[in-house]
Amino acid sequence: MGNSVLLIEDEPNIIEAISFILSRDGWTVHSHSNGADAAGEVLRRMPDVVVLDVMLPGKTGFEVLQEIRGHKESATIPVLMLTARGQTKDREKAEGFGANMYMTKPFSNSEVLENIRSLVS
Amino acid sequence: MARVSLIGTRIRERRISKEIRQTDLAKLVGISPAYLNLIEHNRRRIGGKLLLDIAEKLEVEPALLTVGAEAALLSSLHQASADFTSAPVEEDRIEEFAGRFPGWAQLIVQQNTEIANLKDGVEALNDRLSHDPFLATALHEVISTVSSIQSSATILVESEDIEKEWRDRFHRNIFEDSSRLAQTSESLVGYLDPAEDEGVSQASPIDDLDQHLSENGFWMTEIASNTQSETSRDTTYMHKVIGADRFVYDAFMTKHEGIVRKIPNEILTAAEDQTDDPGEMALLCGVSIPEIFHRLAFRPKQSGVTSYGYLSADMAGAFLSKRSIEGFSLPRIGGGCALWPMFDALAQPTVPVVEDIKQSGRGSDTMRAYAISEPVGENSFSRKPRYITHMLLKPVDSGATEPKMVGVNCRICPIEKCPARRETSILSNGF
Repeated sequence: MGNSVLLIEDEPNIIEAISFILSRDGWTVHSHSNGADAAGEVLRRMPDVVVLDVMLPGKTGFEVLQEIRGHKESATIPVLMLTARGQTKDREKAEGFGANMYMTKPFSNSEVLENIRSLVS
Repeated sequence: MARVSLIGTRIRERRISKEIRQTDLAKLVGISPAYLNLIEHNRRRIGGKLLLDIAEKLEVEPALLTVGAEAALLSSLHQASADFTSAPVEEDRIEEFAGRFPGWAQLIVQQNTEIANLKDGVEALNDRLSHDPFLATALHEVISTVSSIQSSATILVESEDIEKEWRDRFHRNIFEDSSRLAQTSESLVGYLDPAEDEGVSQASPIDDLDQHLSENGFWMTEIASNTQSETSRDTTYMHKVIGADRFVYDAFMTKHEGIVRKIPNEILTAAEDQTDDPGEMALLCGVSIPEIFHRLAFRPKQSGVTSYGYLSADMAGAFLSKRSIEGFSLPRIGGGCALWPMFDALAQPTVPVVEDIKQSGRGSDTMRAYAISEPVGENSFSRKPRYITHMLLKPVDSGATEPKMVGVNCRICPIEKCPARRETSILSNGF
C-alpha cells in the first residue's frame, strides 16, 4: 500500500507489536516515544496516519493532538488515539480536539489494523 | 434548665447502671469527683468535649444523654427520612410510629446508620481511586502491559509464517511484560492491602506524621528549658522513616522545638488561664499567632486540656502541616474545601479571621476556626513574598448562630450549588 504511519507511544513492546502488524500489511512505520516534541516529529515525517497514546512523557496526547491540529501542514492528518483511558469524558475530549478515531487498550490487533486502514481509504 | 437537669440525671443513672463509681468516672474524664457530683445533681452545665468524654466512658451515644432515648430515636427517624427523600414518609406520624412499633423504628435507625457507614466507606475508596496518583499510574501500567502481552501473543498465535527472529523477540517481550505485570500487581496489592506491621504507609509524609503523632497522643516534646533539643525526638520513629517522611519529620521537629522553647508550658498555661482567644494568648506570650496555633495544637493529649485541630497550607493549597481532630475530617489526598476560613485568610494576609464552621455530613462537630496567613521567606521590593495560611480548630457547642457549612473536599461533599465547587460530587447522583 505504501502508506506511512507514525506511532507516538512510550511503551516499546507495544510499538514493536503494532509495527510488526502494520509492516506486514505494507505500511512504513516510524515511532516516537516522547510527547514534548511529538508534534514536531509529525511535521517532519508527515505520515499518512498518526497513532497517538494519551499518557506520554513530556506532554499528554491531548496536548500533542492540539498542536498537530494547530499546524496548517498537519491539521488534516488522520489521528487514531490509542489509550488506556477509556472514560467517556476522555473520548469526548479527544473528539473535541479533532481525533478521527478513539480506541482503548487492551486492543485487538486486527481491529487496530482495520481502523488504521479505514483512515486512509 | 429542664434539659440541663436531665443530662446530669441521665449521666448518674447510666453510671450507676454500669456500676462505675463516681470517683472512678471523674478520674477517667479528668475532673474532680466533686465537680462530677455537681454535674450529676444538675448544678453545673455540661457540654462539648467533657460530655463526649463522659459518654464515651459510659459507652453511650452523647445524644442519649442530652435528649434521652425517645427523643434520640425520633431524631434518628427524622434523619433517616431526610436521607431518603425519594421515599416520602408520613413525617407528622413519626412519633406515633415510634410508639407503636419501637422495634421496627430501631431497625430503621440501625439500617440507616449502617447505610451511612457504607456510604462513608465508598466515599473514602472513591476519593482514593480518583485522586491517588500512585494508583492512577499503576493501573495505567497494568493496562498498557496487558495490551502489550495480548498483542504479542496474538501475533505469535495468528502468524504461522513468522520469522524465528521475530518469534524470539515476541517471546522475550511477553516474558518481560509478564514479569513487569507481576511486579506491578504485587506492588498494587501491597499498596491496597498493607500489612499491619508495615512501618511506613503509602500515605503522604504529612499524613504519616499526623498519624504517628496522634498514635502517641502528641507526647513528643515538653521542653522545659533551652538546654534540651534533640532529646525530644522519637528515635524509634526516626529509624523507621526515610526519604520524604524523614524530611518532613525533621523539619517539623525543628520548628516544634523552637516554638516550645519560645512558649514554655507554664507561660502557655498562664495565658490560657487569662483568655481563650488564641490572638490574645499570642500577645501575652509575645509570639506570633501562627506560633501560638502550633503550640496549642501540638501538645500532649491530657484530660482537662482542650484538644485543637490545626492545618497549614501554602498558596497552592497544599497542606504543610496537619493535626487532625475528631469531628472535622481532613482529606487524605488532594486539596481541602475552598470555603475554609484559612483560604479566606489568604486574601487578607496578616488579618486574623474567625468563624464557626461545620462540615456537612455525619459525625462532624461545630468548630471555631481561627485563621491567619503570613508572609514567609525573604521579602524585598524585588522579591515577592510567599504566604502560608494557618487555621486552628477548636470544638465548640453550637451557639445561637448557625455555623457556616463547609465540606471536606468537593469529591465527597454533598453541598449543592456551592460557589467553590471544583468538581462534581459522587454524592450528587445518590448512592
